[in-house]
Order: sequence, then C-alpha cells, then structure tokens
Amino acid sequence: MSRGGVVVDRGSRRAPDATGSIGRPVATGVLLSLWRAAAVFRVAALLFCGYLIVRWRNLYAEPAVAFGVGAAMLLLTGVVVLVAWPGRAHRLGFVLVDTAGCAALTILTRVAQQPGQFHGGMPTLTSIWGAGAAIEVGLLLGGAAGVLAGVVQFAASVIAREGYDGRTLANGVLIVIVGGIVGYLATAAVRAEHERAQAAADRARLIERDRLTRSIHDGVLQVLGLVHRRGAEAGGEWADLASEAAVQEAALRALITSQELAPTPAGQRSVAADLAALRSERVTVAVPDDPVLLAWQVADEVLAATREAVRNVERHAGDRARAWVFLEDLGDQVAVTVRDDGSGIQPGRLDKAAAEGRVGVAESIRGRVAELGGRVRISSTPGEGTEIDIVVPVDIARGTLR
Amino acid sequence: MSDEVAGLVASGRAGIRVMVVDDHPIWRRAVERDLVDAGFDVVACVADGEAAVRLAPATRPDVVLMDLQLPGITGVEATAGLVGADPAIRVLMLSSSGEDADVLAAAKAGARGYLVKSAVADELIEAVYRTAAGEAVFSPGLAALVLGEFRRMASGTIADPARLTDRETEVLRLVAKGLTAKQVADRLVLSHRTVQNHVQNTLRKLQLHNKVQLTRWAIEQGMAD
Repeated sequence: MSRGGVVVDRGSRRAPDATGSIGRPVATGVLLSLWRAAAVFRVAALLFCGYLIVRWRNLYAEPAVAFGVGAAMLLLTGVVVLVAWPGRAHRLGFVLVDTAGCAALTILTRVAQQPGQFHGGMPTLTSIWGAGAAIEVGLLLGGAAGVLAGVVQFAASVIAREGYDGRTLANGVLIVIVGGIVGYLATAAVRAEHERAQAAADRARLIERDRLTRSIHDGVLQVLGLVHRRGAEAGGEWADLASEAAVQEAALRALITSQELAPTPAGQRSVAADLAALRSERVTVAVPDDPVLLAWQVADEVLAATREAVRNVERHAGDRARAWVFLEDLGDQVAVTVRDDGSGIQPGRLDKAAAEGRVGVAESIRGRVAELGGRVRISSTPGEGTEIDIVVPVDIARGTLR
Repeated sequence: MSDEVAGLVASGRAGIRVMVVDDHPIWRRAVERDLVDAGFDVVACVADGEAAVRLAPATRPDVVLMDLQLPGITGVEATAGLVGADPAIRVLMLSSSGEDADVLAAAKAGARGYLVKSAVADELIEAVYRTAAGEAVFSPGLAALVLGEFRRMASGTIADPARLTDRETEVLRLVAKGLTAKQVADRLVLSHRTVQNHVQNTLRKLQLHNKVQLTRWAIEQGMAD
C-alpha cells in the first residue's frame, strides 16, 4: 500500500509547523497513502453529487445556487487533491478550512432546495462528499477529532433541513462513525508502521553486529589470544605484553557480547549478560545459557554487589589471585557466587572492622542483598581464598522481583 | 611445559592421534606445533567442519580439537557428524568465552569436553591428554551451562526430563565455582576418579536426553518407525 518511504514524520501528527513553508509538515509512508485515498474519495463523492445536481437542476428553487455550490465543491475538491497528493494537506489550518467549507456548502442546500425538498428527504447538495472533511480531521488528529468533525457536518445538515428526521440522523451517525474509524485506523497504522520501521532497524543493527562480531572474532581476537598465549609462555617482558593483550581481548569480547538485543519482558533484564561483562584475564564468569531475568533495580543491586566482591578480590586477595563468578538460576532463587583463590580473610577481621565502625566490603554487600530480602554467606580459609555466596529470592507474586 | 604436565603426558601420550579443526591458520599452526612438541600424533589439520567429517574415517583420530566457530558447517554440526559416524571419537571443544549457546549445543551433540581458547599450551596439552584418557574436561563455564540446561529441562514442558542426582549437581556447582577436579574431590571427600565419573555422567545424561528428544521428534514427524 505504501509506496512512500517507511519513515514517518511523527511531528506531522501534531499542530502545523510555525515556520511556514520551510519545514512544513509532510505526510509520508502509510499516512500519505491514506491522504491520497481520502482525495480519491473526494473525487468519487464529487462525481456522485455533481450527477445529482445536474439531474435535478429543474427541480431546485434556486438552480443557480445549486450550481454555485457544485462549482465550489469542484474547486475545493481540486484544492484537496492537489495539496493532499504530495502529502501537504496534513495541517490543522487546511483541515479546518475544509471542514468549515463543507459545512457552509451543506447549509447552502437550504437556499437551493424547495422547503418540501429539504424537509422531504432529497439529499443535501453535499451529501456523502461532506464526509471528506471528517475523514481528513481523523487522519490529522485521530479518532476523537474525527468524531467531532463528523458531528460538525451533522449539525450543518440539521441546519440545512431545519431539524432532523430518521434519515438525516442515520446519515449523520454514519459520517461521525467514518470520521472516528478513519482517525483510529490512521493512528493505528502509523503506530504499526513506526514499529515495523523500528523492527527493521533492530534487525539491521543485529546483522551489522553479527558482521562486526564475526570479523573481530576471526581477526583481532585470534591474534590477541595468540599473543596472550605465546607471550605468557615466553615470560619476562613478553609476559607483560601478553597480559595486556589478554586484558584487551577480554574488553573487546565483553564489548561485542554486551550489545544484548534479545527482547526481554518490560521492566526486566538478564543479569547473565551483565555479569559476563566482568570477564577478564583474572575473572572467569560462568553463567547459564538461558537469560536469568530480574527486575531492573534488582539486577542493578545484584550486579553492584557482585562487582564489589570482584573488586575486593582484585584489591585484597593478592596479585596472583583469580576469581570465579558463578550465576545459577534456582527457580525461586537466584544465586551468585564469587570465589577466589587468594590469601583469604583472617578470622575475626570482618567482625573487628564492623566493631570499629568501618563498613567493610562485606557489610556493604550484605546491606545491598538484605534490601532485596536475600542473604550472603562468606566463608574463607586463610591461604585458600574466600567464597561469597549471594542468594536473592525471586518472588513473582510480589512483583518486586522478576 | 611444566614438569607435572610433561610427566603426565610422557606416561601415555605416545600414539594418541589428534585432529585439529580451526579456520584460523595462525592458530592451527600454533596448536599443531604445541601438540607435536608434546609428542602427540597430529593426524590431520583442517580448516572447516566438512573436511573434518570427510577425513575422520581415513585418519581415525582419537581426539578432535574442534573450534566451534567455523565457516561452512558449524563446529556443533561437525561434532554431531563426527560422533554420529564414530561414537568413539572424543571431541574437545575449543572456543572463546561468550559463545555459550554453541558450547551447550556441542555438548549435547556429543562433545566430551571444553576448553577456552585462551588456555595456555600446558592446559591445552593436559586437556587433550585427559580427553584421550576418557575424562571429561570441564570448564566452570561449561558446568554452569550444563546446570542451567538441566534446570531448564526440569522447569519446562519437556516430558520426562533427564535429572541430575544431588551429588552430580553438587559436583557441577563446585566446578562452576572454579574448583579443579582435585579440589572438588578434597572438599567432598571423594576420589578423583569418582568426581570424574560424576562429571562424565552429567554430560552423558545430557547427550542421551538429547538423543531421546531427537528420536521422539523424528517419530512425531513421521520420519522413523
């Protein structure tokens, strides 16, 4: 249906641009197609109304007024087609003038027709053509405004007929419904189009990421990995270079895997991807393949607690200490373990720090996890490293987690 | 090479036939040299999975060192092809960390172990040797993946999922926390052999379950009797 671009000028659904012709709102994509369809409707409706006017020319009280109204309808339709076709009719001023024009021409029916005619069921001069303005208002401002424009047109025909009968009412209701439905559909179509464009952009980004990842994986990472490996074996200065290469390799790997694009439920994210970013030469991260979804704030806290624990290893466990981060989804709980093979914590050191009023890392982690209703277990053997187990309950019913 | 590893491999490496599958020429050459230096019999070095599957019957490798990221058929497909043709072939996966889905898929397809690509030469040699000896070479990452997979099976809609015993779960958790097989044995007061058996069993259950699922799927699709 849409022959135009898929990009929708979202601003064009708002009030017209104050800057005038420069930056004038232009309907594009699906909206442009709808405007052109509205223009086609106006032409078809005009042909129908014109046919009636010509056919009943001898019956009118004032045939000249009837032809004048017909000429005005022709003019207005021409303007609508010329302006709407390139998408430039999508402006408040334009649709208001059109609405007023349609209503005025409808009211003139009263002058053109005999009282018996406008009381007796002859269609107004504008009949279905008058629905065009309601359609346009719907396109520009949505369903509610479309309904309102339909009501205006209905009111005009009530004036033209000095009241209303069953048929006037039925016609009026139809125009109101058309305005409302067109407005609603236009809004929905624009939204769908926007979402489709978004999805296409996501897909393009994903493909681009894959391409980059592949090329980085096949090239730079392999060489860095090799430098890391060979350098470590060579020792000395080369070992420093190797360790630098390993840091860069881990950073680059974290970079290309961190751009998580998989859709996750609103308000949640997988803490696994965040933890994986902690990987480095000295930090091994083991996570399940399935995403471990947590509410954003919970994920933040768990991540912060884990980061503190890892940083603590880097600071206090000794230069050669390695750390392992292990994430496990236990169904009703999520567990994160940070273990190191460093110097360990001397017995009583944590208690002493707490007694002296110093809030150590352990207390900070405990505090964070306690906020989430979880618990922390710290076990350590001097000379054999430390293990920090963080367990956070996952309560779906409370909605605070997951 | 450390003395420990040298002693380990010297005792039994002679005659262990190894195939190297890696599309990166620098890596392939480096790994081949390490393996030859360590006394392994490198029977083939190929750049893609098709060549690995094609050459396996003629070269009869005991261990296939398989990079999971390959051009053409993937390392996972190549693993399935190799193990399908000869269940005795032991595939040791080699991949970069962060390719978790592939590692898990290859484990299900019949791979016997996993080593991160950044492992130094000693670790590589030891891993190949252990794989040849029938041990399952596990990294913490693989242990977490396997635990996660059994968790997924237990909570999902799969009919009669495979389950781990409490002991197996306990062992895998310790491996996932970075403990070596020896440290796990010490902590649980088990023999090294027993720990190895538990680890191997988890992989075997995973692969068996995968086979059952595939068969069931084939039956449902009307592809088998």
